[in-house]
Amino acid sequence: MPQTILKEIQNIDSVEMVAICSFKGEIGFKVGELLPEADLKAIAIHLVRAFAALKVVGKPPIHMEIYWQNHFLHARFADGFVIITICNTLEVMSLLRITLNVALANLLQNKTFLKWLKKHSADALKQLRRGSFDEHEINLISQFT
Amino acid sequence: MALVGNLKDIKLANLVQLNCMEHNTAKLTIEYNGKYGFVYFEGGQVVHAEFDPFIGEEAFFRLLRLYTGNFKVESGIRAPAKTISASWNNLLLEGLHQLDDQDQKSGVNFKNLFERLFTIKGVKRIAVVDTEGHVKAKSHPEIPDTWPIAALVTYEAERIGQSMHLKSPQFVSVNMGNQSWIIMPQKKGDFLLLEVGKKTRLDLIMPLIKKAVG
Repeated sequence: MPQTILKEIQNIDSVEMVAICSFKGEIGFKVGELLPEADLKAIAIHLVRAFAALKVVGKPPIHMEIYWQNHFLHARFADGFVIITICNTLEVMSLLRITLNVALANLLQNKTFLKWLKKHSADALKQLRRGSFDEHEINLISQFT
Repeated sequence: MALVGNLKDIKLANLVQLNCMEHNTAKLTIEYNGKYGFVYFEGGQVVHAEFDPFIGEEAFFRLLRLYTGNFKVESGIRAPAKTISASWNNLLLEGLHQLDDQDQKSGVNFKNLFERLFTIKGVKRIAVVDTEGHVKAKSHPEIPDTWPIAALVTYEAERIGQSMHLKSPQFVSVNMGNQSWIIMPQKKGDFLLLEVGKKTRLDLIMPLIKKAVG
């Protein structure tokens, strides 16, 4: 089950939440209750927008990490989905990256996951065209699309 | 024997000064990002410079803007042409004056900051970008004048923070396989964008970057 794979990531010290979201922003699987679903969905959409923007200029990211004072978000991008991990210490970063690579390989062999992915797969670039944007986002996106 | 090194460790202005004061006849080759630049000295004067597509004084001034790049000084090699007639000290003064003007136009003097950041192993290119994506200062001439992608990535990171009820991020790292970006929000909404090599370890480099930024 994808949840079992996500549990392995959550077992890393200080990991508070792990979620798999599609490029549509749909939450497929998650462990941990740190954030309400609406906030998690919004986070996924912002991450996919950043991914899509970089893809447009030929620099699709493998992962993106955001650091705050006591929080740290890791987004591991794959074909059609993103694994979002939130934890509160930087010390686990190397272990987290390795574990995510293994988790990703396991997910891509998991039938339940693949079935979900097939149902929710979408082109990331759509997130630059559809959805709600504020004026600043519209201005920046219009400069390169 | 040729003198070799990197402009991170010794500035081009110092190399020129050294060769001119020693009355050298030599060829200085600078390799920067796959491009080559040349400065020729004869009897202690700068007589020729090339930096594709520029030649003469303009090439020399462009080379002075480089903060990084491998160099090699080979003694006894004469210039293939003479395109510079100004004395070496006037040439150097004019070049440094142009650099100062460039910094003043950008509003802030980023030269010292860039120099400090380039002492950190792994840092390849640096830009200061505002929230609209306008590049206010850049370490390398080929960095575009507007970088809306970088501004959008930073903005999306800030929006993510809002969804998590957090303030602006301390920094954002984006790994693109063969290179990574480190984005650090600064005062007044600007942010510092550093391009680092793929093998650069964030946990080692971040304390040094924070120290350099101050």
